[in-house]
Amino acid sequence: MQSVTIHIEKLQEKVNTLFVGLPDAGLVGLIAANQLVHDMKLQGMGWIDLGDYMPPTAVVHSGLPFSPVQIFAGSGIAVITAEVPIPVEASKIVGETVLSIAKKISAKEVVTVGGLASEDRYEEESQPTIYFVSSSPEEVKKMSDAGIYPLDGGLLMGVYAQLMMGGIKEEIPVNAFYINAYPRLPDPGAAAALLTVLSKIYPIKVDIEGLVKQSEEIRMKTKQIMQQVASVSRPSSSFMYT
Amino acid sequence: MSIRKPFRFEPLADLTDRGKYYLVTVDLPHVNKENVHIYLDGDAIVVHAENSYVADDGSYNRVVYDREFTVPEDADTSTIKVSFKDGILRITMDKKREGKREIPIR
Repeated sequence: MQSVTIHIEKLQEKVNTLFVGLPDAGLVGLIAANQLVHDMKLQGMGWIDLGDYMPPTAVVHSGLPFSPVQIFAGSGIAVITAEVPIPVEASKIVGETVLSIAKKISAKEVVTVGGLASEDRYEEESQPTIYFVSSSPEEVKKMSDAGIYPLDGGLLMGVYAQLMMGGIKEEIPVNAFYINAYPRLPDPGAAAALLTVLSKIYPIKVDIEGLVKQSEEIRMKTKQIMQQVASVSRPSSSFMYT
Repeated sequence: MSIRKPFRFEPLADLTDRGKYYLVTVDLPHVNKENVHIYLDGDAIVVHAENSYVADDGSYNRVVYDREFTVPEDADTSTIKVSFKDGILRITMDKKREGKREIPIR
């Protein structure tokens, strides 16, 4: 039987919010998660081994190998991010694993950040819109009152869908934020717009200006990941009805 | 200073049908407008771009981007417009208009 393994160190401090940013449209989830890790100086506290769901893979940073799915923590938050697309067949178990980590570290809520592929975003003057989905009706109302639109209709698929449904079952609030993003190009601009809104809701500090300035650098560095995501994202991506 | 062989890449790109026109988007990070060249070659649009930089080790590096797109059959290439902002190249071309005509009922 296929399984995944969690390698996690004991946390030194309390975690209120567990953020999850996976590679998706525009790589918004990955870029936003990396920015949180960098700007909030989060420390690596573990990783998820996808076992037989993925061929042996290690990402290399400064000469050191790391698991593609990493867990970081610090300043009252934790972040789970992946540097490779999660295989469709691993979505369910990864969603369940993320929830079990949330319970293990006693996180009060899980917040997912991601992109919604939108060809409108390619237009030069486009301004991305943010949408919200929550496992908690109270959160949906709270966000609507704050001017963040609930996703009117659509289909969530993959890890975030599993998280949302698992959150209801396990009674852990799961809040998902989506923003319109380039379908096949990295979109640091969309990630910056999403982080700007998140920083007004959650106690996070991010250098939005720095992120925008490094936009071209990020697009260069994430080209390969975007290629991988674009080649596998069709069957597993989430979308909204228009 | 050492000069390295140029890195050649196929840039990330997308061709989308925007209803009345087509939009080609090409990702060319860190490339200056002067180093981007677009050609119409038969039924293809060819994008060639270059970027050069001095790396941390002092070596001179050149990055060359090449990408080719087949022009959709109903695209009017006489309407091609190009813009380049923040390393993103956008090429638009209108669709050919057949003109509206009424079909009589027999």
